[in-house]
Amino acid sequence: MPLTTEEMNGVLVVTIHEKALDASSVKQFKTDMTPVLEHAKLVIFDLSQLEFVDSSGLGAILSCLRQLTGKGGDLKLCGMTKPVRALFELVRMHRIFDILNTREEALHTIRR
Amino acid sequence: MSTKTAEFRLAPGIAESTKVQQRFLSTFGQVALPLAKAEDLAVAVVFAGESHWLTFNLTCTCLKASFGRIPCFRPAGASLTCYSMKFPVVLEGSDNGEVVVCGKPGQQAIIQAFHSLIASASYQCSLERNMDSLITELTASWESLSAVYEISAFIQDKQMVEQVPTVLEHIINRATNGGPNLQAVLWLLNPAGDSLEPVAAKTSRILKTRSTGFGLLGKVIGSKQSLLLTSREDIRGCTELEAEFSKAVNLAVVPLRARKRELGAIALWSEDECAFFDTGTLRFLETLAVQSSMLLENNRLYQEILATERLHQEIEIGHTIQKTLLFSAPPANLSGVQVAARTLPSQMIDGDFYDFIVHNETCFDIVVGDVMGKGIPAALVGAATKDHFLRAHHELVNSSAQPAVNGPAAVVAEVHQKVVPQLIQLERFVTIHYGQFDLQHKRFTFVDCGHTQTVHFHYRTGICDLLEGDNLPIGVTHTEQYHQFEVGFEPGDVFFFYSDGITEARNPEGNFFGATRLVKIIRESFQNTTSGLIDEIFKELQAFAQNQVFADDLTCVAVKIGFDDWPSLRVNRVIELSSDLVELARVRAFVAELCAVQGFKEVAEEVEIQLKLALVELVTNLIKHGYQEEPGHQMTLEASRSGTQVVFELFHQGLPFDRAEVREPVFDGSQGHGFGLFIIESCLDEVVYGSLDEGKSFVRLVRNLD
Repeated sequence: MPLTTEEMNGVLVVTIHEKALDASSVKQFKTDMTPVLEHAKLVIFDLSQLEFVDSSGLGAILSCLRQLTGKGGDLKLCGMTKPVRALFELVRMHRIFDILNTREEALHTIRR
Repeated sequence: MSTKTAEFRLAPGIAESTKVQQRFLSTFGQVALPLAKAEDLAVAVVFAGESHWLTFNLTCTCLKASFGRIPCFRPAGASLTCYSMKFPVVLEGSDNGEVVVCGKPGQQAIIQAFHSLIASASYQCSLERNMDSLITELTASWESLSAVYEISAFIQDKQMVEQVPTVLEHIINRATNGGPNLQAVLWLLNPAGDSLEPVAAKTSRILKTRSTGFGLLGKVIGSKQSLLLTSREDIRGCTELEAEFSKAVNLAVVPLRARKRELGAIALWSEDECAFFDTGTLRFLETLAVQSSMLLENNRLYQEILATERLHQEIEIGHTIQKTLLFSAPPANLSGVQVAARTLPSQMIDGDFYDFIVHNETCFDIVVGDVMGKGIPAALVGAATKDHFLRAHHELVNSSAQPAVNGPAAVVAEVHQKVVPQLIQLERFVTIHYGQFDLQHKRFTFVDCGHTQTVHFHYRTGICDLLEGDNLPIGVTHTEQYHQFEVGFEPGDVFFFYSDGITEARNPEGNFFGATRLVKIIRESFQNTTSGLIDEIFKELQAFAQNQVFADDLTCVAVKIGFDDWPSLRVNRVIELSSDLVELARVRAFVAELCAVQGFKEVAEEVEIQLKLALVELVTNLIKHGYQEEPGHQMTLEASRSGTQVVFELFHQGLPFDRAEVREPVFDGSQGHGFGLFIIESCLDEVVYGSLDEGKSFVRLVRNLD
């Protein structure tokens, strides 16, 4: 799973360069995220290239949130496409996550 | 009469006297001759210059020679002493003349007495003449009356009009009964009025049809005046004399007329010197002419009634042809389109026709045509042409290896091959609009052969296009290349096909209904059903024409593209999947492709997302739990789509699934799993798990689209 990360003012912005995050790709995502989550506390996921997320993808993202909040960190989501948002709303996860339109907004609102 | 005038001698080379002159001679002679004989006087009666009548002069024979020239009656150098006097004779018109009396000197008193003799004879003569004409008139009237009675009785005996020639023969016989050796012919003008035909005759002469406008017959018919000729000289003197009259001594010709129309003429003549025609004869012949004219006119009216009845019958037959052969019922089972067709028959029979050829659930053809001309022949040509379209369609389908749908140009070209030689021979041609609706690709393709412009109403913009091709009507040329044109359409669009009877309907002022009015109604009434739209158009047409019946048939077909009420349209897709999670991308592509199939109302983006989610969750569950992520197993995903519903059926041989074992999901973020089934059930209207034989199972998912 191609992920790119960039550090901005102590916040790690992770961009997922993938069209779909589903059962077929979620394992790789989890593997790739493990070292990222070990070092970072404040993470922003840029989901703007992701066109499809299924329940397992959502589960993986939820797992990231739990890990980060568990160690006093935070996770913000931004750039969410319409199909992805549809899933989040379907399983009411839009209430659990902070979902922001742009990376800038996410950076602005993340707790430091 | 002849015995009394026997004492007068006709000088050689002198013209015959008229009837009036003869009557005078006879009356005058009765007293003048005995006196002349007794007194030995020479008496000459002179009429019209050259005509001399002489008594025998017993004593003055020397004068005989001199009497040859009355104008120089008193010879200047006469050696004998004589006395002569000249008295005027006043009869009537041009019949005035002179009486010259010649005697010896001393006979003056006697000679002068002739004056009163002449006056008395003149008077006697006029009395006789009046009496004669009265008798003639009475006789003629009686003749006419008896002829009328006789002919009427004859007509009553006959089946009237059926027997016109017989009655005319009878009239001719009646005309020739009036005297010995009479000949008569009844001539009738042909309908074009350019030739005369002998229809009844009693004559020894040979008669042939002849052109009108010359001869005595031409003169009589042209002048509408009867003609009576009573001397051989008068008859021979006529220009362009008909051959049959060349030996006639007496001739009467009377025109036949009815309602100010010339019908022909009747001629009666005699070659016998003894026969004598007069105004009575003419009256009699005129009476027969009136009888003949009435008979012919009655017959014409009767034929007209028959023709009207025949026309009605023809219309009946025509309407039967139309109902059974020219118009097919519009297809009712097409998905997503409404088709209505109607024709309002006119007083005449037209060759309008329409037909529909349904290729499959999403493709059908429509053909509307109009045969030039009217009547049963036009209707039959229409029926035959219509039939050829269906045949052409079948032949093209059968001859091609693949069951492809042929385009309009191919079909029309095939029909052209079959019908054009006959159409050209029959001197008929047919205007055609042949169109093909492809509902799946939303394309309308057409060939237009000189037909009216088809109206295409665009629902989205409210604009009407008039569709027109560039071909000539079928049957005009042997070598026509047919061109097809293509336009797109969208849900709600209306196509209106029609015969020129609609746009060329006229109001009382003579204006055409026109395409502009038609377009206006369509733009205003597009929300109606197709049948309601046609109602509206016909209502407006009748209001415009201020009439319920039209000169031409009004024929039209309306097609309306529906929105989503296409329940019978169904597209089926199948995909084989292996038990590998990499197949999930194919599952999404499969759903996307199904949602993008043309010919349906668009699937909302949300729905497409939900269908993708549900299918991905289902396939994931099956691979993970049904097959325990063991690769190499096959699943079959079948999908079918209609206008209102999408149905997926996934057939597999994985472990059966027990819905009851699945726990409800937790939405507080504490659990990252357990959402799959919830997603599937949220996104679909119906989820059924079933098992088949031999360890096969299926899951059926239904999503309604409204």
